[in-house]
Amino acid sequence: MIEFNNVCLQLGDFHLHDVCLKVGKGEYYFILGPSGAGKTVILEAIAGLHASDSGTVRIRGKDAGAMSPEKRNVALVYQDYSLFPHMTVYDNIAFGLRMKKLPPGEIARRVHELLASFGIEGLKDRHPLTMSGGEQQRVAIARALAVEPDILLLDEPLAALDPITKETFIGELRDLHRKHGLTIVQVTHSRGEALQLATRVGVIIEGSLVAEGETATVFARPVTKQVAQFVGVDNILDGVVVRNHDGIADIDVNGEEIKAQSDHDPGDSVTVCLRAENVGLSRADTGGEMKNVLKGVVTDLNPKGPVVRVGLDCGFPLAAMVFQKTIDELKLCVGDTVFAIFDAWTVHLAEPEGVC
Amino acid sequence: MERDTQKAAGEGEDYHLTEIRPDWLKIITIAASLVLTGFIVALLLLVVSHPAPEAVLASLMSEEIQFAITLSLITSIVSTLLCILVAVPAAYALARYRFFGKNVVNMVLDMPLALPPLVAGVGLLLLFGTTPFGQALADIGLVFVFTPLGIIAAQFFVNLPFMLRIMRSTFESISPRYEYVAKTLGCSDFQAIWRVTLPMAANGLLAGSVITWSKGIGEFGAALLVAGATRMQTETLPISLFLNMSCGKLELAISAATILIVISVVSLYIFERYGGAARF
Repeated sequence: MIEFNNVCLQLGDFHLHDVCLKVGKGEYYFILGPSGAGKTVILEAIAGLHASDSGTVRIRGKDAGAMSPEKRNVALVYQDYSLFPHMTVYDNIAFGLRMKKLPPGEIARRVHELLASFGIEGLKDRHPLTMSGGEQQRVAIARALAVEPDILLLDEPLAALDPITKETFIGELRDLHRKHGLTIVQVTHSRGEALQLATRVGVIIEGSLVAEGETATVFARPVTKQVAQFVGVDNILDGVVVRNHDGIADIDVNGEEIKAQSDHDPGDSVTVCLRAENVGLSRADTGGEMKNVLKGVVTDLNPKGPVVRVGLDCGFPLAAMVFQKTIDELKLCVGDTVFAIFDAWTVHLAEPEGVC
Repeated sequence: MERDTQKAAGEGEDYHLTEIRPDWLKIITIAASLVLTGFIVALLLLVVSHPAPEAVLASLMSEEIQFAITLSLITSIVSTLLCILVAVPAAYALARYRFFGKNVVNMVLDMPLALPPLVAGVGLLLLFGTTPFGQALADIGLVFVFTPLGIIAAQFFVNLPFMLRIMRSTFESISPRYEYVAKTLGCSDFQAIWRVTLPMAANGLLAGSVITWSKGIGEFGAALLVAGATRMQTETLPISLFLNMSCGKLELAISAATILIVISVVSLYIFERYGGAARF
């Protein structure tokens, strides 16, 4: 549906480097990245608002280079909604239909349909600046959908909403995606939103696409250290493979050895990624063939609701996430020596550098 | 006991600090602004109240002042429209695009602001009077030297920077995202500007036009050099003020001044009221 091939784009101080991405029909694709990484520019490039300096953008299989924004049938909703302040809600929603020169009766019918489906009939004659964030959001999406696009671009649609409105909206976006069979590309810096909505994600950092794939894969098996840091992997450790036998690699991390399932050869530099919830704690060394057991000293206990994040010093810092019950049973205090235990298959190895 | 005395003394000092010590900085600066305000109001009142009101009223109805009013209105309105025509697109480019030499262009376009109008007048006079360009214009009937056309040219040149600066700050205050959205909804580049950006810039346009118009009505130096000061021919309100003042017809001079004062006050009010983000 949308295809970027080696797209480079410079816009003021901002660059996109060699971005390749592919969004299939009907996907809910998320572009994830820290603030200022160039996510909005990608959306604007899809909409045809910036021409790429090199590389090609294809939409619905056709080269979009010469296609002006108004011919792309791609709708865009900005984080600040950008509702036209000099028009009423009705006129905002009718704007695209009037540009299409539809008969007035048809315009009225479609605008009322949209007002009803978003539950905003009451706002019809209001001006945007007098409305709440949630209301403006609904109007902005209704205005975008009025022209019946098959691609909808959303720029941080949830960032400005309070937590309760946000939850409601996540549900509404999911329905919208299903009901209209839309291809949605959404930009966010929030990993939570992506986990809740996305079918696939692309991670963009400093103008480069550093990872792309199924949401679960990108989060659980980040390709590079940079991506691991961005998707919030708790333990990211640099190490070197010492030996590899039958797909089990032993990795030297600061003098300790960690076993991981991997095809890496001895001598390879790797980044060990390990989620805190995969690390168990025990008073006894209950190791096994495929288990890692590291002796460590508890440095801090940080309760997070029903679970506790335990900071350990095993020669390098290691975080474990265990239930409060476990802490009570082990009578664990700061300064205690304890064994951290995790399976070799929960250890993921990423590339240490930012190349994928 | 001793501690109590100390405490009391301390309290006394606090009392002294807040109640007695005057804030000299505040007093001096506010006084300066008040003195200046009083001075300006006094000046204006002096001008308006100097001759008898009946005399001013009578001279307002005189043929000469009527001519000056008409000529001033026509020239200032035409020059303001020309300013809008040129400044709006130029300001849009300066607000929206990056291009080579933009800083220099910005500086040069603001130049007439700093330039004495008399110097601008000399330039225009040379352009229209001595160059093939001026000759070519004269050949097709556009004579600028010593005609009302020259007044329009002088007003246009001297006041363009006001319109330009106000429109530039107005466009800068409007996010380009409105146009982007309009384009995805089916507008071409020009339609997006026409239907979204310009309506959003309406207040700035109004404020800019009013200031440009009021400056145009008051334009003297450049107009004097290009168009001269000929009674009943190139006699705008400020020229009339100058001519009548120099030959001692105080009533006529004062009535021209009064009209100029009223126009300034009203224009300033409209600018402050509708200017919004617009700045000089």
